Amino acid sequence: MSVTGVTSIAVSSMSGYLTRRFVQSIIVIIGISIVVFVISRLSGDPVNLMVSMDTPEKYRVILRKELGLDKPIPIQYLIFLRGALKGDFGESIRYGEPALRLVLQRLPATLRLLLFTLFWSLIFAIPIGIFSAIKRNSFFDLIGMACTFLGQSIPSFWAGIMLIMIVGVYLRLLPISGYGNGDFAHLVLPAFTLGTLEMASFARITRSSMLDVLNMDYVQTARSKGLSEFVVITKHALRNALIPIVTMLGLHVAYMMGGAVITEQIFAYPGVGWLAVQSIYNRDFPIIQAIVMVVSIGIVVTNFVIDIVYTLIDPRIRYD
Amino acid sequence: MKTRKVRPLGSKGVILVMSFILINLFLAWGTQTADCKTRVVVAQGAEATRLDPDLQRETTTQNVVDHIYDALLAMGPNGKIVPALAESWRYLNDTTLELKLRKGVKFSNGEPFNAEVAKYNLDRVLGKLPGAAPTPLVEPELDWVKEYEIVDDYTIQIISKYPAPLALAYLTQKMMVPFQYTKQDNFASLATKPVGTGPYVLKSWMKGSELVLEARKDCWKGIPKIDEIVFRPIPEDSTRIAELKVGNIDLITNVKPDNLEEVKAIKDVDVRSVSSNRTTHLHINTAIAKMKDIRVRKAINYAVDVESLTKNVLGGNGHRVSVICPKSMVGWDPEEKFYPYDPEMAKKLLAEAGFPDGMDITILTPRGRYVNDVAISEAIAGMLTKVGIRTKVNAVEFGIYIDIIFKAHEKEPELVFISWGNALSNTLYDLIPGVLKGGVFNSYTNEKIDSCIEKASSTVDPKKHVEYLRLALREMWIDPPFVYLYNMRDNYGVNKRLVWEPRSDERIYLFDAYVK
Amino acid sequence: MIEQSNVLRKTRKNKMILFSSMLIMITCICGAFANFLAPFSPYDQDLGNRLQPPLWRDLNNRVHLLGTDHLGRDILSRILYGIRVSLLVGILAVTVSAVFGVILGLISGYYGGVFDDAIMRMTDVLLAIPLLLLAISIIAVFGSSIKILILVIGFTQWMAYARVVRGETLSLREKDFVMSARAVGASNRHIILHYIFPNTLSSIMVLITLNIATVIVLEAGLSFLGMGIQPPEPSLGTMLSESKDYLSRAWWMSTFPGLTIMLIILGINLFGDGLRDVLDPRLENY
Repeated sequence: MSVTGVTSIAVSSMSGYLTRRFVQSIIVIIGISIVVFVISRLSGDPVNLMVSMDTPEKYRVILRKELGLDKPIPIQYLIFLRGALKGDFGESIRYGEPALRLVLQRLPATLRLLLFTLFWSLIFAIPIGIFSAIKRNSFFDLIGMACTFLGQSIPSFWAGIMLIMIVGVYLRLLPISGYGNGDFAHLVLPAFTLGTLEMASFARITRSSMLDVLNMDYVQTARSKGLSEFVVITKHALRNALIPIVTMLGLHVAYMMGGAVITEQIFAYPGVGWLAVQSIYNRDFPIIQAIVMVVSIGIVVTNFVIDIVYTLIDPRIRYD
Repeated sequence: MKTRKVRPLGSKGVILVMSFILINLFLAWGTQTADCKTRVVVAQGAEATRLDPDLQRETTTQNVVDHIYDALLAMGPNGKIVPALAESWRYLNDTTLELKLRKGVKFSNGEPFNAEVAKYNLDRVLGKLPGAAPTPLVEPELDWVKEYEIVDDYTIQIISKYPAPLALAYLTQKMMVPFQYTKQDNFASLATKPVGTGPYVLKSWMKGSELVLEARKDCWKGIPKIDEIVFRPIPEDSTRIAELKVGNIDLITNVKPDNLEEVKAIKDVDVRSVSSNRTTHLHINTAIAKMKDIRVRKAINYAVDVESLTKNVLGGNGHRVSVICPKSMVGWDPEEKFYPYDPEMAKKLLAEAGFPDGMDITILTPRGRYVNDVAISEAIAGMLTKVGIRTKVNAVEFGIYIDIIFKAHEKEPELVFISWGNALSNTLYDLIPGVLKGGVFNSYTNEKIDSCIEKASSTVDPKKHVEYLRLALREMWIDPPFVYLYNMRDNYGVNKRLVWEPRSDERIYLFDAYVK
Repeated sequence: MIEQSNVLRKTRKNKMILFSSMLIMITCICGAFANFLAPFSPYDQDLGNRLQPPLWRDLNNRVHLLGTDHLGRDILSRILYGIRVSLLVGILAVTVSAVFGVILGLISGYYGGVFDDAIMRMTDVLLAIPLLLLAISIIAVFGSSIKILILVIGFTQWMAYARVVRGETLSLREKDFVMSARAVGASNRHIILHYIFPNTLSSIMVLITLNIATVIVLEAGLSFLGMGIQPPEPSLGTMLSESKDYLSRAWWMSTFPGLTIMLIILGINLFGDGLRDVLDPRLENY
């Protein structure tokens, strides 16, 4: 089969696949919004958290009514849905401002942190993983694996606080917390803290899947054909090793979007993760709903992209 | 298997990567513009949420709001009530309060403040403004108000439903908002673009990052000496201390006892401490049968070594309280008595009450909400277990803790960790919900105490008021509805260049402060 | 037959597996026999002697080898008891996720179609729900216990296994040796169990080893909210989160539980890697 032949078959089954995925994505996002809607209302009463303990019940009733929380949950959801379709996710219970706006204000900061972290983690992790696989059981491999092992077993709060103490206070090399005016300096320590686990995961999974692939027949075949080692590794081995790596990428993006929570709190970094935690503790339902909506759209899109990337890496993959 | 050496990256690749790293590092050091304004940076654990004073009651927000707005009266640092937008006041009779308002006060948008505006404010909170949203967070504070009338442009009379000893104190909490500005959009923009009579205005607010206040030139109080106040939310304790160390922050709140040494050791920083109005005690859930017995309640009080708690777990940053009124608050009794630490007595009382083999109970405590809450609860659990009261600790997230408290419980928890701040510096504020029959989460009844509280809450004679409060407290010591613990010292880490003294009511107010 | 004895022989010879098995066994023994090994009770408070450094002797001349914590309790004893809880929660939770996730991943990747869509969309939904919210709601409705803790952790981790295994299955199912097995008439079940699953094992192993670390830290985080492990029960995770406020003042409170966690993770990692090496040759036969 010619290359063009294979590609054209792939493309035609693609469009059916695309529509199917799109429809499913909508269903998923609605499903998420319902699940989160219900779960958050089960998590507690925001009114109890806003009033002082001595406030008589009648005032709490008034507040609940103001916030629309006195209606049965399905009705509350329908009201929410009606607004959501117009882009209105309701007003934050604490801030009194439109919830979606508050979330979108914090989104750029989180995205910057995410991209910065991913970039640096991958730049170090993938080569380390590849070399560890090639030079298995060598000294390099041992050191590399020791570092990744450290990376995954050090809890991020410990790493963060240590970095602040050493780099921020003792050495006074970088700013400690906050956003500053958006400069890279404020991103470095949080990214490093967030990235330790990422780097470890990526390095290990790269190494493992490279090892798998290096033993495969087609790699032996390529070598015996006399191709240079470099070509063997990049053209043949790496492509197939990429699949688990790309999967991890998808999972980590999902994790980081909703949840660089500990890191953001330690560094007082104004991202979506910190807002999410704060809103969950405050039972600020509209913000929770808005964050989950934004994050779930991000996850759905990411996974979709990943599934497409799978087919690019390994054209034999089909989704029938 | 022979493996040939693989050339990594290649020299071109290395140069590319290195230059990328260098460019990043170069961009990393942003430029700082120098400024001759005096700027004070305050770090709190959370950020302010909305700057409409009638729609919130959070300390972190109130600290910002206090600089933008004023009330008719103000609470001085020692709990004494001082004039603010009202120059003077007097009681015409037990239920009629007449206030003379200050002349020439302007809001930051130029609007005047007068009796009309004061009435408008009271109308809003008491739900008398048609079309305006209710203010259920502030309304309960003024539920003693029966009616009010404007006598002249700068005089207003407030008539209360009954003699209300806390009326003046409550009036210090109701901040005045402008008339035209809020009328034109029905209070919609007040939360994000506040306008008040206070010494500062909002300059900029990046949510989650910085809230900047700028000094006003035309405030009735005068021009503050600090040009800009920046509020930064930093939730993590050690990060706040780290920022204090490098000098990025001038004032941090809530320094924990275990971090005091570290903060004291910082070169340019002081620890300033004040005895707070906050008392901590364990609420005894008398809805549970075995807790109703006064001997059991006394036994628990005898079994807890409060001195050890304040000395060891709090590092000396707490003082034992006899009941729930520290020295700084109205109602404190100089003849107070304490339950001595007496485990033998505890065991004896337990046996008398019918529990010779002890009992099993649970302490409910929030996690990380109050200083050392879990640690103190664990310590107390250990002490109680020693006298046979086998105690489990149920440490939950604060929201869950609050929800459990608001529901009546007949099975558990037997003891609840409670820590109450007191914005009014008056013990009556704590007694009514906690002890008086019909209070929010209480099934304890004691007629003597109830009658003392009733009497204290219906007299405006300060001497009688205090007398009744003391009687109530003495009776509470004899028939304890709580396990009495301590009152904390609040510690603030402050840069030495900032001249400022902390307050007992946990509010941060910087108008009188200045930078050396 | 011959393959199996080869595997066993290799296992015995493989140093990594030996070393790591010993490490894991020592840890398990510590946990199992904590009652005998611990010099103090893990619950005994000594408020007058909080935050004492390692090798400190108390008034009765008994030595606290690893120091005391913020309530004066012996850290070594708490670690020994804590190993028990952490291992229990960790192993059970990872088992729940791995079993559930791998099965779903295999089905999803191999059969494709409606199964794939449904399962993958389920992972999408579950990945989007913030764990904190889920945990708080569960505590609010069901209360908390170790069982709930294990189930919650288990159910929030299976997605990784499902996705990774699915990804590999998608690729493997198109490979020649699978095609030829089908041509020969092998049943789907046989193909999945004997051809596809073994080839995903190495990734699963890596995931498990990565996961155990996450699970132990997750356990700390959830216990921090009040789910499952309540004070004064020690677990490595709770000891770590309790130490957060004392990082500079009492380094021993975080370092020793941290080192213990690291040793456990090291043991499991080496074991996983060794296992991988041992299983490797089986792949060459195809």
